[in-house]
Amino acid sequence: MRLPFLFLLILFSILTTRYFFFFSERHVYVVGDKISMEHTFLQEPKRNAFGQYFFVNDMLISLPLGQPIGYGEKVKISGVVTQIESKDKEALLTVKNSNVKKLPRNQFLAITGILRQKVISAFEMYLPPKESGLLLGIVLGIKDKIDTEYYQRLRDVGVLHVVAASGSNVSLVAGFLLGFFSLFVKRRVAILFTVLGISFYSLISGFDPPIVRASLMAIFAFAALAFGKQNYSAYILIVTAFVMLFIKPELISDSGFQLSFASTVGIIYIKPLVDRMMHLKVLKFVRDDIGTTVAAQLATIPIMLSAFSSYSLSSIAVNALLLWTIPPLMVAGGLASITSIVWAPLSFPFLLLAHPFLWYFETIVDLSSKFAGRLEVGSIPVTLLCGYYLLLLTCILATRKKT
Amino acid sequence: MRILSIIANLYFGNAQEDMKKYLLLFALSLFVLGTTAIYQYAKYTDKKLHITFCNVGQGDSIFIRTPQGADILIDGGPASNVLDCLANHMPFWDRDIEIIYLTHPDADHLTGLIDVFEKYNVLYFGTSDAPKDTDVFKQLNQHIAMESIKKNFIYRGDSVKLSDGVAIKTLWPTVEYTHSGEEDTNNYSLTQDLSYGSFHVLLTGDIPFQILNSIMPTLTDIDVFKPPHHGSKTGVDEYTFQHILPKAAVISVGKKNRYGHPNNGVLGILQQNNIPYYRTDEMGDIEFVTDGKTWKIK
Repeated sequence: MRLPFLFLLILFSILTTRYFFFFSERHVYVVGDKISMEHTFLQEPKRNAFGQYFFVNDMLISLPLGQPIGYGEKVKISGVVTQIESKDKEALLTVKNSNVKKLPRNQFLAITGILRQKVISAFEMYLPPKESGLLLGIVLGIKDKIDTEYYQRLRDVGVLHVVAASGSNVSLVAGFLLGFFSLFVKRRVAILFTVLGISFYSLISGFDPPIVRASLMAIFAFAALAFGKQNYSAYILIVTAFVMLFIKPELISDSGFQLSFASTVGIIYIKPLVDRMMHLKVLKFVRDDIGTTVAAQLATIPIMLSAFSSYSLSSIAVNALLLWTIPPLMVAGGLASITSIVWAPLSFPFLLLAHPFLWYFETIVDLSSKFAGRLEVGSIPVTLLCGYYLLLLTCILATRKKT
Repeated sequence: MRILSIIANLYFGNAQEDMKKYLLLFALSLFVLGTTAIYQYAKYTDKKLHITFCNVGQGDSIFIRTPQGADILIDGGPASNVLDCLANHMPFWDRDIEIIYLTHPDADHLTGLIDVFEKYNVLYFGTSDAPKDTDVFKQLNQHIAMESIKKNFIYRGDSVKLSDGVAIKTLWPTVEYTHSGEEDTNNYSLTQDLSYGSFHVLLTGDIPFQILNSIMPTLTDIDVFKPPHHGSKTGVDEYTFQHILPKAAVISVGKKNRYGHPNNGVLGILQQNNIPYYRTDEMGDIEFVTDGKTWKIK
């Protein structure tokens, strides 16, 4: 018991020191500041009829439409910080008359960008726009190909996590790669190749927090497996959170990061309890999905309410209806991605196979968005959040002791 | 150990069982795909002309599918929602659009075309020679140049006749007018008579009534008329229908738009002339289907 405690204490101390330096050195921008900073695009800027826009350090930066920016491009942004009012009437910092100058692109990112573009082009060539956007989101976490209105609809019905190429998607990729490499090389080498494969997948997806979290977890899980230390798997989640926060401390306030971790904790610790309580013999086909959704939602409801001020009342039902389509979509979409890099027409049969699942997905989202009820709340006090999680922790510990 | 088994299950699963499940699901997928393909083939090769006024909000976009399956798009609306209209009125395997016309380069007619160019193979692009220098127009021209799409300026007298009998005759602008130095891009709107057999549709972009009225005497019977400029008072006046009386009018307009379109005066003129009108903000996509003799609204 002493060793794990010491281990956690060391991690906590390192992280606290990291945060101390992070907050003491962080520059808080105010109106009138002259800025000059560099930014690398791992997601393309958003576009509307008037121009392109993206966020750096919570500041809105605008670009003219005639200056196309692609994945992996590096730019230098200079200008003066100013304040505008957002659509929701909130104050928003932006850079007035921003000068965005392209810098030489990192060669590795340039190659990754070409591969990513090949996949996007093939999907868009062989699938209708809505379906291609959805599949790119599910398989690679590329969200900017989904139109804004549809994206909002996915959020309204509570299935946005599906198009973020979430943890279970990464686990499917990991399982597939390990199975594939194990056919040709020894297990340890296969694990090494799988880890490289997952890292590449994470890079192509644009280092979205949920994917990075799942990728790191998979990598640590494989490392534990390779060295015969399976019993350490309980610490994988903590080490993953530590690594991510150490590298990028500002992630602590990112709702994607919070949701990703809380839902994983929910699936690991709450799902077994939910499974024991559920006796849905009739719905055997979707029972596991319902259990996963309930567990993940129990662990994330306060974060969702804080981040979005609303909760979709139908999301458990909608998730139960949709989650079974994700594995076949990942398999078909994954094979289509690999083949499209070789030669675009090779991806056509796989994309055709994905098509009916995408229709089904869309139909369910469209129908449920018409009937979905939403629970709207204002701001939630921190004490209430803490109270909820303490209660949840007590329930988990009490049930574990009984068993 | 429970945690380990969950993680192991998450990462490795049961390969053999999974394989069986996937094969079953993909067999089901193939069945659905085959059935849908047969249904859509029958639906879209009915030897009839389909004209859809897309519900793109405050803007214009008209999609035409000819009896032999050629796809024509006139304007792209103000946003990417034109893609929904195309997806709903084209077979799922069809990624080609044979002709795109841009009536004039205003954002509410042009912006959606950028998404269309990105996601479909466009074979030909025609537009009026109107002066415009906006970013969005530059971006459209970049796409056209990058993809080496054939591009032409269209003038009065130009016409296209397809082998299945569908014809598009351009009535405005004249070559002389495009050199007039006029700055209002609406005045350059392509105004076109689309015909199939005895069925005629008059498509007008945002043309003002002063120009439209001068064209009207040259027209034959018009079945469907699109009042210019989303039903604005600049599009028609009481003299517009002296020469023709369309059997129906379609107003392409956004719900609760800030311009107050369609204008009540215009709706009054349509009513006075007993012309039934249909609005995209109220009905969504409005589709006309014709065999060249009779027509109906879907």
